Amino acid sequence: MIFEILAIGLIISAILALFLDEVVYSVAALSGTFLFTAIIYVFSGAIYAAIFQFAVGVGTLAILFLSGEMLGEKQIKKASPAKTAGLIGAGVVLSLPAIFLSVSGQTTVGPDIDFGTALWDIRGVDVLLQALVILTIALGIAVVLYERRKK
Amino acid sequence: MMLEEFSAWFVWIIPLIASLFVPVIGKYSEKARNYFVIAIAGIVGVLALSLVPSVWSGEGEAITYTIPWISGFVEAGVYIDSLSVLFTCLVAFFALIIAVYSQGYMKGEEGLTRYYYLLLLFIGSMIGLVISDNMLQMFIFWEMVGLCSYALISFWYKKPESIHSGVKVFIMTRIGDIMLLAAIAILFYMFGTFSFHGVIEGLQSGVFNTELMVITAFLVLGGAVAKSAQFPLFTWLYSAMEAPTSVSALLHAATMVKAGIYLLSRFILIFAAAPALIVALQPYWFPTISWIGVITAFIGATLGLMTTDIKGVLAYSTVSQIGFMMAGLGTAMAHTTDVAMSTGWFASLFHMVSHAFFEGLGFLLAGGIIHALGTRDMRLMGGLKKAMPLTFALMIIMIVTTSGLPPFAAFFSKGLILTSVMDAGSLIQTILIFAATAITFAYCIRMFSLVFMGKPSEHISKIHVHEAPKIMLVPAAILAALCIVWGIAQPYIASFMHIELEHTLLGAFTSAETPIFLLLLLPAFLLAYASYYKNFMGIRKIAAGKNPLTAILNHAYFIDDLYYGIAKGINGFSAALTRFENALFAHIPDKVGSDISDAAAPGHVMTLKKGPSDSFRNYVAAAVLGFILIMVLIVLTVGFGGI
Amino acid sequence: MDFVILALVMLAIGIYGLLTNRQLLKVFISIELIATAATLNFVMLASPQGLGEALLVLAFSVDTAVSAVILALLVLVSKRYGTGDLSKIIAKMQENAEKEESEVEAQ
Repeated sequence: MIFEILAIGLIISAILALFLDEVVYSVAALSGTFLFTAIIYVFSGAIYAAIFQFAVGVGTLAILFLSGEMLGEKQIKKASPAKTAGLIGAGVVLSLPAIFLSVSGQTTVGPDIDFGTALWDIRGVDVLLQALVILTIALGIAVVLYERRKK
Repeated sequence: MMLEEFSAWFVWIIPLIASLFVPVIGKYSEKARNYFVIAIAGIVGVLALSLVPSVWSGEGEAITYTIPWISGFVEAGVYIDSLSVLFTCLVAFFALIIAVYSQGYMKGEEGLTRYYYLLLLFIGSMIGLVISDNMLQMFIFWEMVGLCSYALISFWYKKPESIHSGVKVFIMTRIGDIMLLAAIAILFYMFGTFSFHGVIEGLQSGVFNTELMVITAFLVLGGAVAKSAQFPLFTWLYSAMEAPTSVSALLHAATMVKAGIYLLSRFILIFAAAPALIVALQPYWFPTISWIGVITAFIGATLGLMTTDIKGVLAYSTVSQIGFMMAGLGTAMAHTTDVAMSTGWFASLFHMVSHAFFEGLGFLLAGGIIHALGTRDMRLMGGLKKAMPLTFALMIIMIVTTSGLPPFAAFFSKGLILTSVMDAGSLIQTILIFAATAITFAYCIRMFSLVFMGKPSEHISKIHVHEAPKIMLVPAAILAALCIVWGIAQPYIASFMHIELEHTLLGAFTSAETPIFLLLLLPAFLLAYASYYKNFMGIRKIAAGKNPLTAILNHAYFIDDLYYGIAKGINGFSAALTRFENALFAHIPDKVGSDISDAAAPGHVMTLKKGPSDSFRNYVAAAVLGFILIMVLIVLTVGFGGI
Repeated sequence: MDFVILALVMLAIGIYGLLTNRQLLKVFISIELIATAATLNFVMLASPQGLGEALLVLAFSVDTAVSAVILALLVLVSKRYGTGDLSKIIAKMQENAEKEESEVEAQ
């Protein structure tokens, strides 16, 4: 039952994020999308994925709120209740197929190992390389910013 | 670690890692950066050459070295056989040539650090692509090659056309990428492995779904068609001429467009592990390749006759020559199921290398001319014979080689392809490919006379034309020398590729297609001679007038218009959706709805012309098309599942 | 309950958003929705195993990097053109290009 509710919430928040006119509400709905995704991960046992999703979501949303003022047109509009209700209804309708239909019959194959082993023993090189790339990018951005400031 | 294992790993790791150091070094000294790039290219060349002896002396079997990547699933590795080593050596050689040439051609440009960074990344990913031992690794490098070529083509990002063509290249090749990804996914679904060895073993065991493999083969062909600029996805190559000429030379001679040829020849090798599969592919797949190749060869050659852009002629020449290679690959297995006995497979790879030499030479010389004149329009050139004598002499070699006149490189390689197509036995294909060779000669003469012969144009008389600098002429001279001797190397290359070739060097002169070929050149030569030296106006009148033929050639067979039509259709669909959405919300009794419909009036969409928004929507269109394709594939392969 | 279909619906919503929206922020949100759909699919198909999550680390970091770059670009573009509306931005870009062309011709 819990998955069905979460799925409905996920779709509704996604639709709201896309169709609400007010930037702040839209971003708030997007945060709802991230939150619902994270909760779905928690309930299906992928706790680390949930943590990552949460961290990523928080980071993205922080920047979004910071830049939201700049990006949005200065619209002084109130979200109309009728439209919001219509959007929520559409969300419910769209989430119905996911609840009642089923296409994936196959179970997953592969070694059953826990996250820590998988991350460090199998993906160790990749994780290190990623860290290297991210550090390089950060360094590059820092250099560019520094030079800008000097100018 | 043995020497060859060491070389096989580091030949692509070194340029990839070195590319990261380019910005660091470039910050301190530009000279050091330039020498660094040349040194890296030299090291890569030495490493690539060190792979040759073991492959040559071997039995023709592939050697692989792997390390665990994701343990239990995927191993990263290198795959050394004659095919991958041939490509590695070619790319490494051109890396060196272009690195040296760029010192002259790109001198004083802005953003050279970015240029050299991308150049090394490009070279590293191309070598990684050809030497990978599994499809996943290959696909990563395949994408990296696409990304680097996009970035290098729009190198002069301040020019709008440059950005536009870069985006066009990215989107059009992306269609092929999706197909290749689908093919890899199907192969993984069938054999449970990404590695070439695993797939070959699976095929040898004989337990595979033949129909699914045929679908996979067609998807692989789609990937190759987009990457190698074949009909109907060839128009991006002409747009890519906005790139710096050195990049064009690299793109045409060794990297990017050759990736499609590599992919096809590699997969023909893999499919040949199961003779039953080759038999299943013979009725449809191979003829499709040869038809695509022959049609592209013909179309490319005819388009080369009309364009006034000096690089455009070379671009369409590449399209046409790669069509020849495709025709060779398509007729490779017409009478045999063994790659080692196949003339066409060897011929197209042999022609691939000779094409690299003469097309690279053409681009290096065109770069020198553009450098001196500051324009790419051939109508503004003319009479350069006296001003640029060395370029003139080298261009003669390029023209002769491209046309396939004996005894230069393309005579032997193109001759083998013609033999292969004739042996396959399709009359229309044979006629088309011979026509393409004749037209090749005609557009070469046309370009030659427009640029070097006649009287200098007004544009030239205004500026002082100088010969290209030495640092640009020396690489061109090396390529010209290779153009001359490469054809004679045919038996050695055949033994290197472990191919049992029936045709000898002398046989090329006495075989049936040589006289036909030479006879066909005669009318082309006479027509070109009459119209450019004797001022015979017949052809020119047809070319300048309004008739269907001229219209077709000027619009590149309306292929681009077709694509823009599709994009327009998507735009219209999007506008209709927006209008529908607005109408829906406008009925809600609220002011907001009408505000929105004002803000995003459909008129905005309708007035958009070709521009960045088109590319954005094209991207979405490509995504939608790819998505539909994948859905169709899923339904085809696994059925509807639980529904 | 099928998460593949759920991800499919999310993907469809995202693509619809890309097709109809001209507000840069909404375009970005659509891209985020598509990315979320992809990761959702991935996690739910591999959920009881650690390996799926470990592979997902890469997807997340790439996703974050992409969204950071997109946001930076969005801010730069909207600062430069004073609006976040794609159609207005394009109109301005075309104006600028035409202006430059006429300047070149004037020279």
